[in-house]
Amino acid sequence: MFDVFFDYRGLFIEGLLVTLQLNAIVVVLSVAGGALIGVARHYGGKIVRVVLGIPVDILRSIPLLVVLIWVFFASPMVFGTRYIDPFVAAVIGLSLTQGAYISEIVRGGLASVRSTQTRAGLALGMTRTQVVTRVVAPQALIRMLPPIGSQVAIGIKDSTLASVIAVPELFRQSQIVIGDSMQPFVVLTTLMVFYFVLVMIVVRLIDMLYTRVAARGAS
Amino acid sequence: MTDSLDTRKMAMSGAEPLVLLDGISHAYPNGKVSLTELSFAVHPGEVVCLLGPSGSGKSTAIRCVNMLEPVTAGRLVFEGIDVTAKDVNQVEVRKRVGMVFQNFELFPHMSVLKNVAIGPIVSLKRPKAEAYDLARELLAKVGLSDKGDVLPSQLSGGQQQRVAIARALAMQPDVMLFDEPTSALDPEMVGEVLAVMRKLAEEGMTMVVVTHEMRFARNVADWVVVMEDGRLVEEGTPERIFEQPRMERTRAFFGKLEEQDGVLPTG
Amino acid sequence: MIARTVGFEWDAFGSSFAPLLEGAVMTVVLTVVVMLLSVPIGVGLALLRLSRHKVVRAIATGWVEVWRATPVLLQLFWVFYVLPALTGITLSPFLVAIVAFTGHVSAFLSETFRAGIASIRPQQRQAALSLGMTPAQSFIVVVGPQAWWRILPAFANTWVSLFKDTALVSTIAVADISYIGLQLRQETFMTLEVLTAMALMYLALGYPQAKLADWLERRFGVKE
Ligand SMILES: Nc1ncnc2c1ncn2[C@@H]1O[C@H](COP(=O)(O)OP(=O)(O)OP(=O)(O)O)[C@@H](O)[C@H]1O
Ligand SMILES: [Mg+2]
Repeated sequence: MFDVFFDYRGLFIEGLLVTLQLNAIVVVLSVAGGALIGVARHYGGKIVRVVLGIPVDILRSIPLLVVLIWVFFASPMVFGTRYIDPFVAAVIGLSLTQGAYISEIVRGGLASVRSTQTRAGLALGMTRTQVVTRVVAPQALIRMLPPIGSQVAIGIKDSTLASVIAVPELFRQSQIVIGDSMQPFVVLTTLMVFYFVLVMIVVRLIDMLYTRVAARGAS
Repeated sequence: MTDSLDTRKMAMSGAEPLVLLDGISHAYPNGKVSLTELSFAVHPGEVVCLLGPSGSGKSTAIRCVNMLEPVTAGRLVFEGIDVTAKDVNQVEVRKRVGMVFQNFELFPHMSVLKNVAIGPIVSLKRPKAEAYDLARELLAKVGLSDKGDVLPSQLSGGQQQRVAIARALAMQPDVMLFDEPTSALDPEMVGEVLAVMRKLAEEGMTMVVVTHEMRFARNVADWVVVMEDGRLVEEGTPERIFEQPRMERTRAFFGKLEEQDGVLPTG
Repeated sequence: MIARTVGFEWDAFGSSFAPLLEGAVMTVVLTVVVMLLSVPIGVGLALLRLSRHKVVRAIATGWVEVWRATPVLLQLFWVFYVLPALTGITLSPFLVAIVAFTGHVSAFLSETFRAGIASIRPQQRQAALSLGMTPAQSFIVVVGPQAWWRILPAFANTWVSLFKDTALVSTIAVADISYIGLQLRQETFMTLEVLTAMALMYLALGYPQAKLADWLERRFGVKE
């Protein structure tokens, strides 16, 4: 019954590698980008907040599938390149969407640290920058951990959507195998288990990390 | 001398106890044993104060009386009926037992008046108009007739606790349970709540009170029960317990209180 | 792909909206039907997860975890391909979408409901019980109404996610906005115009929902 995985191992291994690569790149880009935008929106004053809020809100209002399709099919026409590599399109689409959500988490985390903490820091003679890096950011970072963890989990699950623009990730390869082998049950069920385990590992790791530091985030 | 100090008026009158804890034990689901063979009686019209250090099981005991915690062994007799028997309707027992909580536990989504009226409306199926009339009457009794329309969060702690007492009274219970009713209050608000409780006691309400207010226990209680580690240490009239504690553990407990507050109510 | 050199065809862009609007009806119907089914099922699952019986609790929790931790696209395909093979029942693509999304959304809602109920401190329930209420009455009169305001923001976010996730039904040929957009693109070759119109369609519908959810979060969300 599980022969199918051996028979098509080449496709599956490629798919697995592409899925892992895609997610690794997206996590790095979206966390870095989201942090940058979140910090800028929190500390940047009204104009920065409103201007950067526009792309964030657009990305949060449109389905990821539509973002991916637009980036893959339509954006080359805007930039006159005619073609974009599906993997690159998937990285862009996923990172933009994930980054938008993460920027909101970062902004909310910074805002959740009570202003009395800032005052306490200033009262000790710290500069504004020191207050941010020594007092506010560490607490905010700990509080952001759980929601960022959930968002990363969402990103892993959503990476299956890259199959729609023919990125040879795990789900796409599986569909090819199903078409060829006519064994949807085994393949799709195993895939379910795979994603379940992957997501659980990520969630549990972040949980463990969080419980170790949680007390330091509650002022 | 000791004899006269130890006279229990209500018990002497020969009345049946209203509430009787007869060797009850209790353990929490996590295995923590909180009560071990605890026995004491509450007679009609009596004020019984439960004293003891933190974690001694006072709250658990009082929740057992209200059947909010299931006893694992022993008998709990309420108005002559063994309510630990299988076929007893807990809800019917709770309708006749009022309870006041340390943190008030008013319902934050209801007006003060509705908080007081909700028990009769939902549990006793009283007509709304009648329940609200009673609620207004009881709010007046606790000195808050002008606060009926506000939300609990707009009241001070002392006011909230007085509303909570009115809410419990609205069920016209046969006995009132108080679990540290003044512990969550700022010192200046303790008095107004104790005054309401004292008035209730004078009207003849049967009360079981967990408290750290030694002066209240001394002056209002008819009977004092001292607990430690889920067991009864000793019981007696307040005069006897405060002036001639027999057990070393009672003396130790009073000694600690004295260190903290610097006061013990003497005669 | 047909190469085009000149700019944006406004006519093609403008005429995309009428067919896309038909797709929007399907998108909205899917969202509303799935939500109507998921709320009662989610409440049921939440109550099972708060059950006193260990086995019931474990099974309900496992069911919910599986639906929450696997990709919804995979769930859609699983219901599409595997359910007929297992049960012999073949559902129309529309019903496949309803079943898969209801499984998905009810699992998320059950977690929201469970957490909302658990966030009300147990003394509130005890206070209700001590007034002689039955367990059911204390839930309906005291715990439920308080939990509702805690639940509302997360509920709104789940709603918005569902609205966007329904775009996946285009992969099994249910004629929603994205399916019609992709069809239109193939027929007209006006890729940029059609796909931009499609994105704007989603934006017009999704933006107010997202903003409403944000507002609910600010207004009722638990702080600290
Ligand atoms: N829900 C619970 N689960 C497990 N153990 C509990 C629970 N509630 C109380 N306990 C434990 O049971 C024992 C008795 O607790 P209880 O609250 O009855 O004491 P108490 O005398 O009211 O103390 P305090 O003066 O602090 O209110 C304590 O050791 C406490 O830690
Ligand atoms: Mg207590």
